[in-house]
Amino acid sequence: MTISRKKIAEYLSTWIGLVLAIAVGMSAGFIAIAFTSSAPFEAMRVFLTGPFSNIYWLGTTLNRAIPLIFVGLGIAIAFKARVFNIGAQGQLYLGALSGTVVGIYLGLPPVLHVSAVVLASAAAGALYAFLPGLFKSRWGTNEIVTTLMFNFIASHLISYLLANQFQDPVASYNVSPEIRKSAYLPEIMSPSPLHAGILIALLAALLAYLFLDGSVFGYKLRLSGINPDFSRYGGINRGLIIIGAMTLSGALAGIGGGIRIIGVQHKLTEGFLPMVGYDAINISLIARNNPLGVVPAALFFAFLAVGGEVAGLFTDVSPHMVNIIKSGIFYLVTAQALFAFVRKLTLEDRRGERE
Amino acid sequence: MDNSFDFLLRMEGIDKAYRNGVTANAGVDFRVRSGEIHGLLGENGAGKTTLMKVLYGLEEKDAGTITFRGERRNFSTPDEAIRAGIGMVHQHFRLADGFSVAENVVLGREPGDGLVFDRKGAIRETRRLAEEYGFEIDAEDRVADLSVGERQFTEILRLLYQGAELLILDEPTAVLTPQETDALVDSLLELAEEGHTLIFITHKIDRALEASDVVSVMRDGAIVSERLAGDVSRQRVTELMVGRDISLEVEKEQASPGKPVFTARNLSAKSEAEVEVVKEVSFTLYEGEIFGIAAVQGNGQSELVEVIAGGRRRTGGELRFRNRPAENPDPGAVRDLGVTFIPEDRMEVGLAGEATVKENLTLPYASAFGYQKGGMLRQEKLAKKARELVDEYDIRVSSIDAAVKSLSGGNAQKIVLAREFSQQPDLLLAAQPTRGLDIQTRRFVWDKLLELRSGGAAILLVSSDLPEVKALSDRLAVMYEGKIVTTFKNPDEVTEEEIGLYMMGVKKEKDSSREG
Repeated sequence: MTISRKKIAEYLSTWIGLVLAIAVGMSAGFIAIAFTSSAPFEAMRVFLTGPFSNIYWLGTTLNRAIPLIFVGLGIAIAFKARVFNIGAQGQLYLGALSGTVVGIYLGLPPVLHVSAVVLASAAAGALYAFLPGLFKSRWGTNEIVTTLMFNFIASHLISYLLANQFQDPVASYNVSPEIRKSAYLPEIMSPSPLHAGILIALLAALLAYLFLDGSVFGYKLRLSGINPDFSRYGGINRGLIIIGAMTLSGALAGIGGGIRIIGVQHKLTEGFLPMVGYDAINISLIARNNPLGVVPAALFFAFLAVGGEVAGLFTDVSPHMVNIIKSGIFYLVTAQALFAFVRKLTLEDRRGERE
Repeated sequence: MDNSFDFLLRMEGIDKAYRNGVTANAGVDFRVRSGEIHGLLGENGAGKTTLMKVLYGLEEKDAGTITFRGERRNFSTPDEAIRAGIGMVHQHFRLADGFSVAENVVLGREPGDGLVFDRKGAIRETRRLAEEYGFEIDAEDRVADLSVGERQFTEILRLLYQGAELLILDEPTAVLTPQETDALVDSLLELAEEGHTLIFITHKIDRALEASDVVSVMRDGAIVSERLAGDVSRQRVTELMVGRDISLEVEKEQASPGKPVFTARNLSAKSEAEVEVVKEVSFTLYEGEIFGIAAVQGNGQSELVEVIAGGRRRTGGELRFRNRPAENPDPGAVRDLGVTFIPEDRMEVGLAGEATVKENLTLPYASAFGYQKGGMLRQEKLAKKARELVDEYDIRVSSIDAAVKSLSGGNAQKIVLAREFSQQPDLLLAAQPTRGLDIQTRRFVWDKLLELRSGGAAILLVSSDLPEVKALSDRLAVMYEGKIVTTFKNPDEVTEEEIGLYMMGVKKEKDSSREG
């Protein structure tokens, strides 16, 4: 059929582009390794197979993907509504802060305690994203600017609290006391650090997909994102969509922070997961803002990150070099996704000219 | 003797299918003799514009040959076509608003030494051309200040400046007043006399027969007939275009207006540029009545409709729905009052291109009419509604889950019409509802409007298609520069020329007595 021919062409161009981006990134990486390593093939092999070499590294890779999935889902929802939430980092921090407080001060049985932490971190992230959403819908402020600034406020707030009210008295650096054991997420693949947060992340991805695809609000959110003018005249309140998308987006980023605390760190520190809020933007773009695509995209990023660490540990390639290669591949893939995204937007702009 | 030498242009066996599978041209044979005005007639989607885009290097043909001036040619860009002496005025003008007429005319081929732009030379050359062809236009005016007709002349001047021998005009009369159309036809005749050849794409049969020497009729991607314009009747051309007999007359019963549905009192509004474009407009819409507004594009009628639809803030005056004042309603609140809206810009405001046919058709059903349960969409019910509308409105889609952007323009427009007509509105705001539609679909829209009217709906019909708005309206207002300059209680009893005088601001209510 004619439609499928076009679809196939579209898919092919997407996948060929993706494969090319990865191939170019790897080749460039290999050339760089060849200059610095005495055994470049071995180094490359370790880089690519390291994350799968044993249970420990596999679990580490999956673990690394957890916050990326949560934050990536949040960003995907915002982008679907054409709201550019650059503040996931700050929302994640506030979620982590609120989750830590609940983890320390609330005494509850295990399952309930975990639920309480998740709810509290969702609420904190949601509230922190709600404000820029409100500003945008009320006064048309640019959310890219406000959310970015909110990131700095959040990280400085945490530094301040950890240096003053919230510091663990026995620690020698700025760190909070440990949360109660009842709030710990169980590890599920020992000896690796993988914890049950991965299951919550997968569930979140499924729920986000169902929300966007099947719920009334998700439907309005998508249409409003595709064409705000159209949806406005169709009776959809754009202001509510902006606030709703931001709030949901922040809630997911906040959960990502809370889960990180109860799954891995068990206490609040300064500057943890420093780039997640930004990496997740790329992840969402690679996934074409599709919640189900966020999972493999986050896993791909975690794979590159852990592969780099393994290669840095077990080969003569310096960790910095590995970082460069990893970033090279990742940004080529992102650029390819970004290109498709921009092309889509410009095609939409040109549509009016036809006919 | 080589036969093709008689023809300036010969297109033979042209095939063109778009990537979305629409076959726009299938074995088209099209010939144009030197020095003639050739009307290319056909309904929307018949393939006229595609054929000309193939010629002009905007679309690549799948098969066929083009012979121009006796030589086999294949232009892959408009620039090549222009250099060969072919020029095209598109339906949507391609002018730089902030620049003067002269600057637009010479754009891309500026006089000068390559470093310094010879402004005086540009103005001189533009004036010379305008004089030669009798265009009344000032080379130094800014394009932004020009009327639509003057913009069109600017486009034509540009082609002449570029040395075009064959001029293609795509739907040139679609946006003109009757007087402007007359002026255009006069200059086309002038151009032909000077030895230029013209192809004139249109779906307006009367004008085509009047202005052309020869007409070719396209249907379903092929030329079905080529005739001398003098040898064929309007009725015959219609039959050829549509493939069957179709009435062009509007037959409507006497209106029986009921209660007032909507009142505007001294309504004013500003454009995006903060210019007051709607000035103290007052009128009332009644149940079972079509109130028409005729105006040349850009006289505030679009903004007026947007204010009523809730999408634009008013700066003064009063809105009343069913005798209740409405403060600053948003579009959702207006819809809740039983108002539906066919926006002028269907592609940008009426549709979400990336979304599916189903989603575009059922938005109001999903959001307001309760096709949902516990916050989740009732997909089967929505799909059923979408399929019903697709059938009833004969929307050609491969599936209701296809993206709207993959549809042809006419089919995409039908989605908007289907959605807005099907909600049984108390008040329908229809802005240019038939613009860009083919005869059959126009006919269908007219019938729908009359059907809603007899069902008791109030209809505000804004159209720059004067014969249409005159025929459909029970009362007809004319807007000029943001004001309603006159209202005809019996539009049937006035001539198009009379209305045209008001549309151009030549006549105003106050001085009509003096002239009469």
